[in-house]
Amino acid sequence: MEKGPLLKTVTTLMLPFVVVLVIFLLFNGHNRAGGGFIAGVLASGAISLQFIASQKNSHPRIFDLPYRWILVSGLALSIGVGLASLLFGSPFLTSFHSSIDINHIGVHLEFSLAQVFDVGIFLLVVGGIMTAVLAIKREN
Amino acid sequence: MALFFFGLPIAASLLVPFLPLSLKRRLGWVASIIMASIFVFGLVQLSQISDGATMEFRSGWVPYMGVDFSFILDGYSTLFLLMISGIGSLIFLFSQEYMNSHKNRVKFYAWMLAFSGAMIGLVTSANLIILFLFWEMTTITSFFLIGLKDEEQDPPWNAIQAFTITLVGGLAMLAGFLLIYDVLGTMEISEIAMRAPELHASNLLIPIVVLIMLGIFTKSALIPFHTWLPRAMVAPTPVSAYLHSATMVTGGVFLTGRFLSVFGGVQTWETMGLVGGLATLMMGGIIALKQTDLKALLAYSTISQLGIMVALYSIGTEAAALAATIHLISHAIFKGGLFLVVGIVEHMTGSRDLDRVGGLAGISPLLAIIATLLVLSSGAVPPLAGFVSKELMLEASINSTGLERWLLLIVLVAGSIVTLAYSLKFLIPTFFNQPSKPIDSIRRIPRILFIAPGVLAGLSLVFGVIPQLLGPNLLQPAMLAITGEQRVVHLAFWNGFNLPFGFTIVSIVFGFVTFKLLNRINRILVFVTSRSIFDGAYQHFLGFTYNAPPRIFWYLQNGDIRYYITSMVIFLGILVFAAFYVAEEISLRFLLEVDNLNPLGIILAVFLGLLGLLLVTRKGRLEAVFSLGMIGMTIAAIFGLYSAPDLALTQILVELLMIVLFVLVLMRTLKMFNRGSRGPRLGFDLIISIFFGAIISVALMGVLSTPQTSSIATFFVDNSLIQANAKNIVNTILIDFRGFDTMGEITVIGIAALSCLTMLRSPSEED
Repeated sequence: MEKGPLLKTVTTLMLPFVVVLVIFLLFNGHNRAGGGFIAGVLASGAISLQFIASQKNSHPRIFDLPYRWILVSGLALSIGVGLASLLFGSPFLTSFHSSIDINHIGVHLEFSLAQVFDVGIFLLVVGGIMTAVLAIKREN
Repeated sequence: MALFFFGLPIAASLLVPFLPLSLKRRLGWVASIIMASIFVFGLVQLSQISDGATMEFRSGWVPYMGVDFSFILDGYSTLFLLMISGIGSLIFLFSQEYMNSHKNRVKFYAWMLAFSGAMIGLVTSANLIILFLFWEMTTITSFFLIGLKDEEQDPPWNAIQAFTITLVGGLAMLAGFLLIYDVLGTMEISEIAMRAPELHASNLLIPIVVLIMLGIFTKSALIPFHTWLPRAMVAPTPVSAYLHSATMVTGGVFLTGRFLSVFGGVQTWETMGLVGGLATLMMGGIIALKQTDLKALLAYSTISQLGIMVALYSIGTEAAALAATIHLISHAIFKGGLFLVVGIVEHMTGSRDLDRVGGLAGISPLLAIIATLLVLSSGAVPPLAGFVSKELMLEASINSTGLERWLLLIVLVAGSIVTLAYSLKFLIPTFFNQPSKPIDSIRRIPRILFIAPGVLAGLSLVFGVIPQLLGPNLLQPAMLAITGEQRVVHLAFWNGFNLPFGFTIVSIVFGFVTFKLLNRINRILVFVTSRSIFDGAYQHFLGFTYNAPPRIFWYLQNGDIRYYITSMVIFLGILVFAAFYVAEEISLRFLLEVDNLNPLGIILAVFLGLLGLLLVTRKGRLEAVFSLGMIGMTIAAIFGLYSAPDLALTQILVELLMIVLFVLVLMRTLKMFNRGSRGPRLGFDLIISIFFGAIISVALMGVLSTPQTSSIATFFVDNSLIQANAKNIVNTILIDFRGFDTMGEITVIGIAALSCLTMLRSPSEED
């Protein structure tokens, strides 16, 4: 099937910006709109768009990422975070948070264990959706 | 410390696939050293707990539901720990040579290590839920071990049978545990034992006892759930030697002992354990008599021995518990050894059928000596360990009272006669009679294979002659742990010419006679035991579960998506309608109050309606997808309008993804809807749509206009920043306050994606 060059150009150009947006949404979710699930859906939407845009014979390398492993590692990360709190004698999935102030450059970093859990959700959503999309694509 | 005991084998099992090839070839040694180190650490622990002190570990898991990661090392769990690790170490040593050329040897070690870890976790757990988890983990790992074969057979029916039966029992047990929690509000076994009288006074006592006994019966293969054990003999011999003699099947026995202080003295508990156990003792023994397959003979013998152990633990007297505990030890030693002997015989001759092997004593005198020691211990002949435990069992029976006493004595003596007879049937034809036809070829046995059964035979002799080795160090703390009373355990090989010894003489004489008469009564035996109603019942059950669901599925999943949606919508509508019907008071206020009215909202709502009309009237699929996407975006706008940015963002992204997916699929399907078949149903569809829309609208109005008395929303608003240090409440609920729910949900997403992969994968791509 012939495809217009417009779609292909735009999706290719957009991809880096989408990646930045994904990272922003992923780590900003704790305090503003965003989070692992949203970032994951956005990322997999962007990758799926590449399918539609890509020419019949071209095969962008982003299709070859090991999505099944990404799925499994996301689940493992989330469960691992949950189990980690057990090592400190707290109940399963207890979150810890702390913040770092690097005063001389005026940076204030906040960190929460729940965010690592969120990263796990992100990986799982991307891996899961892309596994399914690839399966549908291959069926075609 | 407790974590180390079960964590080490499980961690090792996870690492097995990643080991370098040089270590993979020596997995038997590696695993053996791991188990031996656990054994040594267990011995070190033993010196610290012998005065009744315990080592405990506890970490909260779901504290408000009484679920904690809590483990206990007391005398009783240490006894099991030593058995599991000691015999495990020997069996791994045996496997190094024995499993050398097995196709699935790496899988074998991985699953065996995981299994032993699960088993150790089971015996050291101090919380009912943890116990249940490890209980099911032994079920799952043993499923894979039983299914291990040189050749692939699909599906592994014998493993499925073991899995199904023990799983159903495990779930029944879980229900029993939850009922205990319902009564006492705790899952800690020690606390349950302390508050046992409260449990006894509860009217849930009988269901609890029956459910937990169901778990014990299935796991320890008692009548009528024994059918899985003989079929599990398809497993490689080291697996049978480990799982079906010393470890997995003793899980039920373990539990009976562990719950001695909880259910001791409860009539239902005693009756079920006693009757089930004694019936199993007799029946297992009688069926064992007619076997010609050596491994099957051992399987039925194991069933029979487990029966007497459960019976003795459940009657609850201290003497009986002591006898059961020591029999557990001597049985694990001799039965593990006997299975390994069968393994060697099969290795030598290529067969384990009594009709095809014989006269092996002339070929390997060492094996004959080992087998003789083990068999005599099994048949309770002095001076071997089995004799000591049999004496104690007889003594415990004599010391009990009433009907129980006579029942125990008669069945025990009869059981001993049968036990000796089948033990001799195992020994004499295999080693001392000439075979009916000469064996074709005899393979040489590597020396190393003799170590494990040799050590076990040696232990049978040592513990038989000097039983006091076990007394103060092992049995005393174990008895203290389960009965709560400090008692000096004194064991001697020779107790004088007392009543138990008289019974022993009787059973030895009659056992020998029975063995001699075996050929004559064989026809009767075969006739009596030819039809197993229990196995038949299982097969019927299995047939039902495999045949009934497809019929239901074909009815529900007929492939027509319109049918699915119609039935879902009708059902949901009826449910909501019913909810209104039963609700006592619902105020339906029309929501569009003047001060609430947002002009933009009204515009969006009207727009939504127009898009809906567009969706159902267009003929092209692409147009329909477009209007569906627009509907989603408009809903997102409404979310944004009413200050739910997270929801709006999610809605937009999901819509985007949906459109992309639709386009992917539409690239391959018809561009136009096939509406020709729709004609007569149009009216019906319309009615259903209007009904559903009305119901949902009314429901929303009802929900929104009913004042909420207690709102969890305020909790999240108040605590989000304080407890989770986060300003985004939605995100905080998802990943922090309700993190556990989210974990369940993402697991479902993962499973859905993987099933998508499996279902859509074309057959040519299977890897």
